[in-house]
Amino acid sequence: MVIRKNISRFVLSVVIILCWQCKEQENEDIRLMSFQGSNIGRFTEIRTSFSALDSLGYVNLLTHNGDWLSTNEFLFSVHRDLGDTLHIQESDSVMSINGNIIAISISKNGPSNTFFNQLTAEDIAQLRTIQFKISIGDTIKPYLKRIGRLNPAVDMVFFPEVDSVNLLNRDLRWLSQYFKPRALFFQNETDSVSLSSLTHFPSLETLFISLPVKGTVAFPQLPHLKEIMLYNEEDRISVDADFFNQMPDLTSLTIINESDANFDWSSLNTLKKLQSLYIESDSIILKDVYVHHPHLSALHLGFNEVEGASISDIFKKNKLKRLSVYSMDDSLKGLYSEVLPDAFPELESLEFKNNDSLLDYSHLKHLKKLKYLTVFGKAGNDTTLYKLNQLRYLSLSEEFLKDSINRIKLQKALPNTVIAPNSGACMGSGWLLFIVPVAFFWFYFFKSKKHRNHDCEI
Amino acid sequence: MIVKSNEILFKPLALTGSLWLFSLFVNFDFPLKTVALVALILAGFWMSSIHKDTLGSICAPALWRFKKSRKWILMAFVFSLALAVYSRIEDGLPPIPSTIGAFVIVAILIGFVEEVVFRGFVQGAAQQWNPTGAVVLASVSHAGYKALLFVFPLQQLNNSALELFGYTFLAGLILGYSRQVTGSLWPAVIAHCFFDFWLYMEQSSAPWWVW
Repeated sequence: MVIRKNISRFVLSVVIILCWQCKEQENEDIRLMSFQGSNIGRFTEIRTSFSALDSLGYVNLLTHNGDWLSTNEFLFSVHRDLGDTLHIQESDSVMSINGNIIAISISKNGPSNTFFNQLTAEDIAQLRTIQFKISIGDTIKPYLKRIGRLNPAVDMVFFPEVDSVNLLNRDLRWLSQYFKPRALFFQNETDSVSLSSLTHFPSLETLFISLPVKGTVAFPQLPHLKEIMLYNEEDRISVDADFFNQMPDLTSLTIINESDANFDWSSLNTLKKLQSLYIESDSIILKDVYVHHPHLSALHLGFNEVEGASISDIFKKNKLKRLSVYSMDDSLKGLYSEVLPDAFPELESLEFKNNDSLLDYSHLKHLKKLKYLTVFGKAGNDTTLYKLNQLRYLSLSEEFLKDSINRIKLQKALPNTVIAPNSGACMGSGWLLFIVPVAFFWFYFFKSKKHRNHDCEI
Repeated sequence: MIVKSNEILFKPLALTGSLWLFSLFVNFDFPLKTVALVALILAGFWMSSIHKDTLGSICAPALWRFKKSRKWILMAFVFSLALAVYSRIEDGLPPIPSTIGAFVIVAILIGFVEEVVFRGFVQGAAQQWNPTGAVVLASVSHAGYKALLFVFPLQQLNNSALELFGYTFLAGLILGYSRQVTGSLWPAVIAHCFFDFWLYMEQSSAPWWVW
């Protein structure tokens, strides 16, 4: 009775741990995913790509829930329900992942009315993205209404082929009647009318849009907006200190500053809930970044020229889990591998490109939580890489890994490092194999003890 | 009666506890990993103790008879092949693997040892208490071991630990039942090993949680 009571308590506490773990898993950040069937890359990092190592054609990509990925034709977001291994099939107008229709692209080439007629309610419920490469025609509106009825939260992407702002604004007004999208991506030109029509999408959580030209109307208040990606192609953009005042709840900000916009970087200081900051710009001035953004866990900095950067404060001790630094030419001043263990004790993922100062990996050994390392460009001192046996994932340049000797040396030195698909967990720990010799040892220990006792009695 | 069943259950429960402790800590780095290895040594102790005291323990010839369990062995092949193909398709892999990687031997060995431990020792030791209860106990033991591997550190997997617990428990019931009905471990061993073989055939190196 006592044992049964204790068993029940023990099992109950294990179930509680597992339930707690399920809840925690929703917040887990970094994912290692494998893709087959299409070129794949992160949407914001068009200059980098990943390729398959083996003949099966699986590409391993480090990503996280909420990340946006792009294939040859499509854009989609990573969410918890997506498996770790994705088999992608795409045509001009439809993309399927693991046999489920995930995205459709409305263009001159399709999809056909037959396709829409054959879409079941289940297909529509699984749909994640609708892309618009043409303005919405009358023939397609009934089908879109049906999709809106069954799955109003689908993400929407507008391509530059929709080259009339008036038509875009007309389409947005129509769509707002039937859809409550979670994300809107505008890869085409927008104007003040487009911005003000965003108020008709109060459910919006993610927005990708060009920076508004100076003098246009400010961003409307969007109560659920958590992530915004801003890009500019115009020199006359100017971002002043009040720019983000209407978005105090942002948790993720991306700024892609292709041209030399006049950016008041202190405007970011109002974003106290920021967890992820991604900046590609020539002039970046970040002062007391961890003071202004106490919840920051992911930072990406990309430069064309490093002279315009003033970011010495990022090397103060912090709680970042993900850091990526891309330079076109020179290394970032102050970024040395010796600095990393003290400044970034919580770091789990490190990515860098063209930072020669980091190519000696011996100090990375002291980053106790580092599991994921991605190095673009030169691989550096690979003998120091062999000591990083805490890594779970390592990505090096294709040029380096094409050499099979390099690959074999790495696989031998880092046997626990995954460059293989992470396909389910139907198998347990390999350490359990040692239970066999251990059990034999105890068996012979008992046996010899028995014989000794028997001899003593005699 | 109750005292006797407590005595009978003590060793399989102690073995279960040791294995759960092992799986909870094995994914940590040293020195915390030492806890897992100590738990593993304890588990070996309990296995040896069960072998010493229990009738029909793991070395009994009846447990490894082939002839009378042929039907179940065939069913094990079919069932594990179907499940492995389904798992591969769910994971986005082709249903039929195209190459054999070096890791597959380790995968088969792991499956074999798990069946010996859970269906062989845990279930075998609890059979004197209650044959059906022993099947359930072995399934819970195995499912808990599998799920606890992924509690610390938290890792993003296709399945949550609770789902893993559920799938492993259900599979454990079927495998345990096969041992109860046939008296042989072969159906369970073949089902588990063949499943791991088919699912992980192409892997050239171990997934991170193995080591």
